[in-house]
Amino acid sequence: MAAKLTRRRLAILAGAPLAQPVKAQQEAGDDLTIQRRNLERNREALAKAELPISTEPAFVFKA
Amino acid sequence: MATFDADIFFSSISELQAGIRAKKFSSVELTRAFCDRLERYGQRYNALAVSLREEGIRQAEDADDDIKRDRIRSPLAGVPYAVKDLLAVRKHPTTWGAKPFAGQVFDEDAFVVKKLAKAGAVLIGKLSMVELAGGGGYRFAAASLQGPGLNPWDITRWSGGSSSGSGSAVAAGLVPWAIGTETSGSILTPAAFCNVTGLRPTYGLVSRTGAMALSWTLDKIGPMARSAEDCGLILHVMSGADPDDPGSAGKRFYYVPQFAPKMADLKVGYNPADFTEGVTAESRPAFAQALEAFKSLGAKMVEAKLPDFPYGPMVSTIISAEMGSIFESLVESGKVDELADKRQIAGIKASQEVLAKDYLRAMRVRRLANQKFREMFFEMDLYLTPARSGPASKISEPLDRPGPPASPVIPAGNLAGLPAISLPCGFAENMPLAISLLGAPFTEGKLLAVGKAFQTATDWHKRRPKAP
Repeated sequence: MAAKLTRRRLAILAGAPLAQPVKAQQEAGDDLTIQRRNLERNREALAKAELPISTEPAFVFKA
Repeated sequence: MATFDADIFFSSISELQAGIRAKKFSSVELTRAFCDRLERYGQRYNALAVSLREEGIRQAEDADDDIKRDRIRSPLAGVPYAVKDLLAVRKHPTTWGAKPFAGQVFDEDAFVVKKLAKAGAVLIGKLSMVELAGGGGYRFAAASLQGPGLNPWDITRWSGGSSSGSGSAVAAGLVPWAIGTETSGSILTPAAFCNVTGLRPTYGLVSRTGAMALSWTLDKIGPMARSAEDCGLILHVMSGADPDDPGSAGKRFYYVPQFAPKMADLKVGYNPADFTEGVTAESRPAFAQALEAFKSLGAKMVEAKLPDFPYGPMVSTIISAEMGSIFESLVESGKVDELADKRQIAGIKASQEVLAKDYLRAMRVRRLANQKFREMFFEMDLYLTPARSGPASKISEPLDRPGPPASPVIPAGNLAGLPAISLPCGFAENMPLAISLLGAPFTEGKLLAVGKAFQTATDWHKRRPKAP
């Protein structure tokens, strides 16, 4: 009886790259999560700063 | 044919030019000697991106011709130097330390490179850097096309970033001086870690035309050298107005040490806690000694604190938003994934999601912080802190490992566009430490005068690593 042709086996036969190890994918995903969380923390910290409505941003446009 | 002993590689700019003028050696001989050394040892510290030997020797020949005619174009004439690979040098790779830009070549020199060439300075190389000047936030020192910047004081430790090669090349005597850049800490940090004197000029004093942009409202270019005096000579030449740089202040800096303020006339603020809780336990004795040495210079010392603002979140939001726009095509092309540091890749990708209202809020809070700094400098001339909380970390350690709370002075000073100088001040764990002085806008003269006074009273800046 022939061995069962799994998708993994098919991929090997076709020379296709195997899926990345789960850990590596997870690490890359984790880094993005960490960086998004950093942006969120920055947003929260800046939200606490008192800001009079008349305050203009600290850049100058020259015509 | 001149022969050079090791001391020559650790000489000041003035000493080197005096040697050329006195015909002890020619600029060509000096340039060849520094090129040999840079090429031989640059790789040891992952400091060298590109050698510019041929061009350097041509510039040195011109300098020698000038000197034969008693024409000295500037105090830098005939003296070799190198630039961070963030600055364009025509017809040579300008990689920004990043694999996606490894083949990038510009057909024009950066403004400062042109300015230094006109002054007769001799460019012999481009120095390594953290990829994209660290934009996105890297986690490991290895975030560079040339590999981790290795510290000449201990090659298992980092040379600092993002001007890694500039710090290590000057420290190891591979070049007498170098150009670094800073968005938030990239001159002061490698200067402090490598026992080099680094000057971050006021925002707008030095043109950034031909330099990689990371953050239009924060980027600055400055000298890294053996002493405050050398930094003054370099800034004198490289500063000045540039209509092509929208951030240019339209001003230049004149180094006139003969008109330096007297120490007794200066008021210097400091927070004693910065020198205790703000530094590592191992560094405390050296920082305490440095503080005492500084006090003995005779300035009026006053206890003070930086204005209270969320500097870290502010600088991080602003860099993310501006960098997000600058590197949008890098992300869209997928080439961002070629960078070396996974955390940095994620940071650049995440920067695409910064909201306009968050950026504007950060820029509005920044306006308030700038106002408070203006008020602070009505009360004092300069503000003194440790440059970093301790010595350079091990190459293998992640840069986000726990430590003393990071001093806000680096993001704060950068956000307000203020000049600062890093001065070697002692050692801990056999590694260099430094203090830093912050000044009001366009007070580089004061910073350099106090730096020179500190370096006249101490010899930390003259210490050099054992090898090479």
